[in-house]
Amino acid sequence: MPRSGSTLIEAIITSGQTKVISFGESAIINMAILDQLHKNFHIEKKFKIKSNELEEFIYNKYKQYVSLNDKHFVFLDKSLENFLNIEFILEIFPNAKFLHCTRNLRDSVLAIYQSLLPELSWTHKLEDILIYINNYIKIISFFKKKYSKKILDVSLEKFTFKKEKISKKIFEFCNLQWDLEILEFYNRKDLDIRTTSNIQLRTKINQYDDKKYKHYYPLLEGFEEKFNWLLNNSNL
Amino acid sequence: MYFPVLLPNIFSHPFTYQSELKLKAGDYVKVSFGKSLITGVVWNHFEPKSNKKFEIKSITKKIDIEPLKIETIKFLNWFSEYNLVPKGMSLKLHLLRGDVASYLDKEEYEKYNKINKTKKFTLSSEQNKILKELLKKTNKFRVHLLQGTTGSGKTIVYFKTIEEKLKKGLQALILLPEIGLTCEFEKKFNEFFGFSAAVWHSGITSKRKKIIWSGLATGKIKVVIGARSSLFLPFNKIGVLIVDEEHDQSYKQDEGIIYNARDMAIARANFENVPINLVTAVTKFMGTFSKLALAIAISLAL
Repeated sequence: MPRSGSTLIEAIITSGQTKVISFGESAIINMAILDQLHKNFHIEKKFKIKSNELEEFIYNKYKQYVSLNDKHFVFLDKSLENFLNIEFILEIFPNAKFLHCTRNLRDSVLAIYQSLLPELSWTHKLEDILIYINNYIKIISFFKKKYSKKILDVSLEKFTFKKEKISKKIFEFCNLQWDLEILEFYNRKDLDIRTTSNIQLRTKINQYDDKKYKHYYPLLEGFEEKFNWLLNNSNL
Repeated sequence: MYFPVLLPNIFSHPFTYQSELKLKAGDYVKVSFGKSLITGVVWNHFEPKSNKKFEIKSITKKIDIEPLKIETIKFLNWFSEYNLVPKGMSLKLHLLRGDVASYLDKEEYEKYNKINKTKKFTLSSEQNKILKELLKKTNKFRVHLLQGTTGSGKTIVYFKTIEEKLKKGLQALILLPEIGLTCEFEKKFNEFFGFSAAVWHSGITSKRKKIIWSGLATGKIKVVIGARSSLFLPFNKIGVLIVDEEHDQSYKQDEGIIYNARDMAIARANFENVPINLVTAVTKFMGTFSKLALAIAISLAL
């Protein structure tokens, strides 16, 4: 979800010794799927996404930015819709790994609501955010069971308290070489992050403030019955 | 007597102080907080009751400056609720580095009141037709969307609406998305009105900020051309707000306190009960939709 620390993790991964190119929130994979869907949405019978077309579309788009000839080329794409497309991504990139960034779900809802994200229409109303997150929980839970070895949960709260330990775990999971300098990503001059979180990346990592949104929890009253995950007051 | 005093810090509630002074909501005061002496504003409500036991300190002094208008206090309260921002942080947006600017000599405002020769601008029949519409019922809150291609003469039309307000002794705020646009714009403004508008953005000196802040609070400055932050200035008698290039994404502030200045300008116009003209060369469905949603949110809050 937006505001769950994915930009921070992106900065860390791209600050290591192994060159990792970030495509940010490119939405390329989702575009490739929609490209096939929109041509076929009027067909009543079941429609199957054509993997070869999908692959061609995605490779062509990525190739516009980088050369994909190097077999050891590592890249990162933090598009929001990735959680919907895990199956397709694995089909095209069998070596892909997923870092699932999480944070306290109540804080997540309120942080998204506060951010007024102009390109995501569902982020402007609490109920819309809750519905979106509810669907996201169902989908990611399904994929976490199905591809448990491919998905690593990264809790924003835990990360900010145990940066070294968790960053090592992330790098190990991604088969990347860890070094202490990655935690000083804010010294990098080439860091070009284009999300709301970019400001936070100019300073060192602050410990998670679990009181930041507490004052606004009453806004979520009345929604707990329909979205009972709110009652847990924890991460996914 | 006890008074609620909002302070420009992370807290979302005013603190209770006592004083023998005759104070009212909106008065700027100096109070001690921790080890420092800071500026606060007598707020329009007390902190919700709690079981906390605390010593009630005295207000050190009342600052000799025009009080903050109750409409602005209500706007800042609403701004905090809408954007999930502590009220103290909203107040911080209004103050000058946590402080206010006192009365200054008349000469300091001369630049903004000196009348020079103006250029004559004649409106086309189409511009006149639009102007007539914009000038209907302008004594209360109305949102107009002035849309036209680049060079179609929108600026002159809304300058005319400002002119009408200035004749009545009222002030105006023109929000611009990019401060780089101001030079050409200022020139056009001077040619039309014959005086200089106060230009407000993060790059101006703190001395200039003090002049503009106090000039607006005392009504000695009539028009501000400003970036997002000018929305929080202490206008004494605002009569109209303009949001030029209203479609521009840079009205959305992502640093620190997150808010959309275009939307907040509509809210401020609503609280001040004055018209607002949104100006654009771009038609944008989402903009219109968000304005509608905002209008509903404000009407529910009032």
